[in-house]
Amino acid sequence: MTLNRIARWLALGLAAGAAWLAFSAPAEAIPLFARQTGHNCQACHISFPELTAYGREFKLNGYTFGEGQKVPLAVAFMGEYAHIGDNTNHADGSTLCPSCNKSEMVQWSVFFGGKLTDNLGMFGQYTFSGAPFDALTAGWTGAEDNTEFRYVHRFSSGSGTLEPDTVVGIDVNNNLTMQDVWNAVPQWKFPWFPYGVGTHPQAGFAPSAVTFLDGADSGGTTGPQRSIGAGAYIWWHKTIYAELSLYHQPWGLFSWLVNGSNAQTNAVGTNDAPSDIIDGWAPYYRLAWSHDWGYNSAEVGIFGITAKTFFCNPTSGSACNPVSNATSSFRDYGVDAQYQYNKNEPWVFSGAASYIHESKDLTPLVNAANYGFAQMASNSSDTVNEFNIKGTVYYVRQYGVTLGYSSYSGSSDPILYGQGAPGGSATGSPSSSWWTLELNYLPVQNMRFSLAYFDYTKINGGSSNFDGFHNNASGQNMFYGAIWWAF
Amino acid sequence: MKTNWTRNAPRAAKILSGIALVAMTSFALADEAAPAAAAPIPKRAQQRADFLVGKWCSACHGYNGRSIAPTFPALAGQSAEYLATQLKYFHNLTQDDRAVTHETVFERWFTNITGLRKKERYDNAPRNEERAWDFMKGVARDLDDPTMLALGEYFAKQTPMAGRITDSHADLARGKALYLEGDASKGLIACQMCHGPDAKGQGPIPRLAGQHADYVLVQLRAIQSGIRNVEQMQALIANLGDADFAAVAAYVQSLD
Repeated sequence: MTLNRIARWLALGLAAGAAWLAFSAPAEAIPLFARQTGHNCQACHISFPELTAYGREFKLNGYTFGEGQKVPLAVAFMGEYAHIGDNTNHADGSTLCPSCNKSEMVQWSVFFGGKLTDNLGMFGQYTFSGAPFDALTAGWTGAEDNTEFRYVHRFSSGSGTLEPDTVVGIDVNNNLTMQDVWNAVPQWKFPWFPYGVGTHPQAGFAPSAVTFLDGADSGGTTGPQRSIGAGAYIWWHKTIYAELSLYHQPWGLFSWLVNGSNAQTNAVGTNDAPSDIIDGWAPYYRLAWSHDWGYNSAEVGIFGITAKTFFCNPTSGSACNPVSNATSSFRDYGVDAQYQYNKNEPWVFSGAASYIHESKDLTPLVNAANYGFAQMASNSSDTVNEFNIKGTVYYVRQYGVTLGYSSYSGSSDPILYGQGAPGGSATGSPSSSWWTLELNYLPVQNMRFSLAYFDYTKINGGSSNFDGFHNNASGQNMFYGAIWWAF
Repeated sequence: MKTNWTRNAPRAAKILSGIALVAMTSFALADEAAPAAAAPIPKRAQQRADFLVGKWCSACHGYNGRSIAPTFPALAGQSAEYLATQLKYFHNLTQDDRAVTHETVFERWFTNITGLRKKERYDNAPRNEERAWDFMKGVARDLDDPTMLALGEYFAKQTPMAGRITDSHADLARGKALYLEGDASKGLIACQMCHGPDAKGQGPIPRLAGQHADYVLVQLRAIQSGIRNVEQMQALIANLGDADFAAVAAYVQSLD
């Protein structure tokens, strides 16, 4: 039996078990944290996974509210129908997205963990991809997804409260910015459904230039399961959040946190990522000021990281063999803001925005010929800017609409953002912008139906013929129907 | 000659019996509560309560029981007996109680056709409003009686929230009139008859002074509809409108 077949049977077995769980559980059919706390989903979530103020408290207190469950598991299922505006690659007439225009199961996830002790908790997720989208790709593969451990200690800072008003915590996680509790950082920003991920790499256009912090979206230098972060944070008086974490390539005891991903393999050879391995420790900082009044909750904050990545020698093995003294470096600065109005009877509003500016040094890519590769970048230094903003409204927590706008831009770099069809850049500019409209309906609290439309106004520096091969930005417009069911 | 008496007799009887019911309930509960209050709380329950207060309650109810969002009532200075009783009500909620409240149309259809609802619906759960289910059912699920008492006594000792006016358009005069004098035309006896002239409550009757107006408003609506089952009050407020509720809620929030 091949690994694929084993994985498929495992996934089907889990599916059967999950279906049993879903239909035999009480009408509310609630996932792991809900079973632990006894709360309904909307206590902690605007609409999963977006958090309310109480949801932020739950996470920052290490997932320790409630009673640990004997079987601390939950399952989520995601299905999708993807429709692409123009399914023809105008360079050669081929089909851009063979798996579009039909329904797909995108992924299964198993969640595990929750409260372990009164001071220790975890959020664990293992995700199986769905059916393969073409003959060349494997389906039903599993990998460790967002996973973190938190150990917390609470005390009173003497600010006049009788109860502890300060939480200090230690956090170990496998996905940069997943430890955050506001919905503007890369890992938790809108949209949350993995539109396009399960269909085809070209469906649901992904920007050529993403920041190091946002690497998850492009599978680049900090894609999920690529690095381990360990850090400490303080959450004071529900007002100030401060965190310092260090990210490192996975090793030893922590390797299971990246199980299933190719964290250690040589990623050199792709044309837009110098390597996937962090050199040494990459410090990440996060500072946020939060204020609650009445039904309102607002936050402003900054976050950032400085990182170096290896440039890997060509090798026939599977591990990155770094070229000594050849590292690329990244410096990201981000600001974010969020506002929520959570009266719940019947209206809820949530808005979030973030801006990240990155400057990166790509000298090894410019000098790649010295290491036996073709030149990978024109400029030894480039900048990338990411701007995301969204607003969400829910009525009786069942009917929702979200409108988002994204704008990615940066230095033009003709080799780094080179030509190619589809998805390349005729001009070498990575500037892309698009609107996202999502309509949501939740017949029950733990199931969400969505319709989403992605309207690309500009891709890689152009709106028409952006790649030099007569593909237009609007031709990439995507329409999705999605189901997200957790139990 | 027909007098107004015959026409108003039913309403008067309702009011009088309401008062009698409240009085009897107060005496009855007071008798039941007194022994419990006199008995010392076991150390284990006290420790559990201290832990919960520090680690969980303040997440919603704020520091020292003075909450920020009106979604969550202020607990500071509330009657210990009332709090313990409410926790017990939350603890006793069952899935079949929930069937009566805010399940969606889809859930009702699904549980009906699959036969997952096993018992007769229970319409008389004292606390059955949506927020009870969202938050408090889970919190109270794993509490025992001594811990509930300890929690009640902790919050009873906290300094209550000061009176405040958060809505400049609120009809405080109307609220004060309703609270202190009632409204005979709508069958309402003065709220102060049970909740006290200064809205500080007593025994099983909750303190209202300083409580979030929006919270009081939501509870009055829930009591009027019967989703929150307070027998003593439902008949008394049956004829009040939303504007009346808003006025009296704003008035009690303004009291220290």
